[in-house]
Amino acid sequence: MSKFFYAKLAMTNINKNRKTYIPYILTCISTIAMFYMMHFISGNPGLKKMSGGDALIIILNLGNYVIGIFSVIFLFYTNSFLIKRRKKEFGLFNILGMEKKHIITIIVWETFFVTVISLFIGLMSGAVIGKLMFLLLNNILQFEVPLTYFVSIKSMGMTVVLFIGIFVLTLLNNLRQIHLAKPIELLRGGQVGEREPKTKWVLVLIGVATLAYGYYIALVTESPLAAINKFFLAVLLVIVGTYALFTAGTIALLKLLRKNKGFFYQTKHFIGVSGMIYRMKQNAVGLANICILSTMVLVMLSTTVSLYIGMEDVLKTRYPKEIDVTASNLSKEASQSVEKMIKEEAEKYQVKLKDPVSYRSASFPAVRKGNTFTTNEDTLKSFTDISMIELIPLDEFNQLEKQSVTMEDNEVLLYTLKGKPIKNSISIAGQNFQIKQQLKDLTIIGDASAMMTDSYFVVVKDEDTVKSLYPTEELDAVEWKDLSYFYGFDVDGNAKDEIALTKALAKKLNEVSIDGQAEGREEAKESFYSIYGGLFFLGLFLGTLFIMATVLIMYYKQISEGYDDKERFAIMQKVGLSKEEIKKSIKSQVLIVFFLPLVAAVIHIAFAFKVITKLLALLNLTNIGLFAICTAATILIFAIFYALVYSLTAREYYKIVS
Amino acid sequence: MTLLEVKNLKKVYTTRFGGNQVQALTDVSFSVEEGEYVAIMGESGSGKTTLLNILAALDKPTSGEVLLEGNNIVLINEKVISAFRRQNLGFVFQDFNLLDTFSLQDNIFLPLVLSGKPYQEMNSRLQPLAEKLRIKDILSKYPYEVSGGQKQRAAVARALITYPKLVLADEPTGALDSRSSDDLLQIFSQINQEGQTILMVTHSTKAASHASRVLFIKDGVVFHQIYKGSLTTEEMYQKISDTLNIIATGGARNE
Repeated sequence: MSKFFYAKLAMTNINKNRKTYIPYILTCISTIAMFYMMHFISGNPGLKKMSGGDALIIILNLGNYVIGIFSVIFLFYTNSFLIKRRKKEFGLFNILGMEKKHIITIIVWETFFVTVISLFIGLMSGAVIGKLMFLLLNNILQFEVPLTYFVSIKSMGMTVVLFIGIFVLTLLNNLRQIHLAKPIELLRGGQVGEREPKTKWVLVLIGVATLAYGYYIALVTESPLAAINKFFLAVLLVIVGTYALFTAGTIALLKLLRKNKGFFYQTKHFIGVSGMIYRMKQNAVGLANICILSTMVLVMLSTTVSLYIGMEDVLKTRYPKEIDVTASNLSKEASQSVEKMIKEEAEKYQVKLKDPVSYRSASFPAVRKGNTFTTNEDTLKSFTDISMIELIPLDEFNQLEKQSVTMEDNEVLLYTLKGKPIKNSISIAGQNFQIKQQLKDLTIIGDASAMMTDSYFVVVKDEDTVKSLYPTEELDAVEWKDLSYFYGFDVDGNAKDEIALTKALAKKLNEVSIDGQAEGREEAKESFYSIYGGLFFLGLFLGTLFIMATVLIMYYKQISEGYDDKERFAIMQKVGLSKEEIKKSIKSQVLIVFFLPLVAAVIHIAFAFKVITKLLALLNLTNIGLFAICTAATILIFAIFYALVYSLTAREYYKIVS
Repeated sequence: MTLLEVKNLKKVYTTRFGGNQVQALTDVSFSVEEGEYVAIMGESGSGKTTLLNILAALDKPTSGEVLLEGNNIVLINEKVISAFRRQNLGFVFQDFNLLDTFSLQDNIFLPLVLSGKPYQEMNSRLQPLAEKLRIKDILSKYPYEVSGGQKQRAAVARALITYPKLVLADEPTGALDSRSSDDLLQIFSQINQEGQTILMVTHSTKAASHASRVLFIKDGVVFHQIYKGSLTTEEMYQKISDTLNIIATGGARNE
């Protein structure tokens, strides 16, 4: 026998099983290309030279891991489809006289070919598309990037090692299955025991409970800080709930429908309901996977897109003034000298100050109970009810707002930046105050807007009151001696001068050893763009990967279902179902199976919407309208894509069934 | 009264690329009276299955007519043919053709549900039938939970529940053990005595010996037929057996 007999046979096998093999090879190629690209970009030496590059490297490295892990799971999954379809073929080989070792030789050859083909094409396309991705990343980051494009041998090596590892693992798994099976079992292959699934009420209850609790958490969480803690829990609960309800809930529902005789014994429902019971048994996990994946894609894309688009907003929220100087423990005299210094520096850089504002205040965290705020250290450890209190002496307020308000010792003015309104009276650190006036607006709120907690601005009579209210225990490592100082201004001038001035101010503060800092919008822009741009890029990248995964899972589902359904529809036709009726029934079943995950994903997102806006607030994005639009647009695009895939695979399906 | 009349049926299969032509049926003519129990016998490749498919309106003949109560089913419009099949014909297959996704009861209901009958009527039709076929206790079971004989009895119930004019059976005992076979043939005889017309295709001599008339097909033509008349089943068995021997040794045909 020729030495290459098995190799040839393996080649023929791949060719004969085109329908299942080609999508598998395409998956391999695209995961390989994506891993290579991500690895190459994240390892690019130019990243280190960028401002904010460190954060970008972390984000991209994270992407590396995600893609790596995902590739393993995903290739295993698609491979299992493949091997299930082909068991019959191997069983036939076995019966025709091939020993297991011969079959193993064939499988090894097949794996070898697939590995070589997909690594070769994958790396080639990775190198080519990588160039495009590079341009895209450069474009997204919106500033001069010192990145250089080249073909990275190191990344290629890494990709080859990882994927050969994955292929060897899938090969071993396939061999294990073939080795363990008896020929007759192989011949039967996929279709063993189509028992009717049992109704698992416990699982249904667990599903309903976890999903409801997950949704509940997402809906009632108000504080962004709590949102971080609870979001993860809610996600876990919803994932558990999704799996439980897809597997047990759907079947329980269908069986209830079947019990209703008037409903069940109608032509339309009869075939549909019983067909769905059978389908859901086989596909529930796959559909739940698709649902979770789709939700991930949608959340990831909508958040990263809105963060990226909302970048200017974010910068404005984070930096209310183009340049600001903040310093702590500054007496009134010292603050005046800082102001003088700022003006001198601005003149030096020929930057004109516009609308400068300055004030002194003191802020500290406090735990709120009703109208009472306490600053006891123990209670501060819980994240949930913390508010920031910012105390402003009356004279600073009058100066800032150009007003001449007067008030008594036990009176305050209150401005609620974020949080539930407080009426009539307020108690801070044991002292009671009457609220003289609720302020509708405050000229400047410093960097408090960057805080995620509730914040209240309280204007008190004088500095002494501030001092008496300020918590005596040290809250920070720094001992508190005096009020903090804020000086912010907009500038006339170009971005370059603005950045230079910001840097010079920071340096100057350092020189005169004042505990403070200078920040500017332009100066921060680069690092914001590299973080949010990086997230955006990663979102697009992973989004594409997950969409690809979704498409493939759906394709394989359709194909393998088609083969299973073929026989059933042949029987129905013999018993008197017309082709038209069959087609209609297939269509409605396939439609439900296909769009159930998408609908569930959209519902998940609707419930998660609020808590995601809280999380985005942490990242300084407060433009809920923008996020809503981005979410809607992402869902729409995804749905169109989804429908497209549906029409393509449905056609394949009909071809198999008829 | 003649229920079914088959006239000069011819079926030629053409291979996919128009190459070879295979003549499955050359010229088949026969008729079935109402209440008759007819068996069609022939070896593999004699055209039995093709004939049955045409009678079932699953396939179209190249030429010829099939008249059911005088109506040519060959000419029935594609759109109504399924409904026609449902209302006039009952099928029993060798491999049962029960759907795994339905319980036996729902399998039996299938043709009625397709015709849009209400549940009450379906149920009242099912009860006496289930009693007669001894499947009353297993109606809620699934096909994979019961024996072959029970499956075939359920399939018979599915064929009869529409009150068809004609029951077509394709090797109904083919997948059954001898006891279940006897059982099924008993049932066929019984329903035939109650007036049901049955047309059965088989190459089991035993199955055929229960019929009131046996047609022999060879090379696409009706080669011979014998009537049971007043013969016992055993005598009929012997007669069929002799005829098959003659056909097999090719006595009357020039090869």
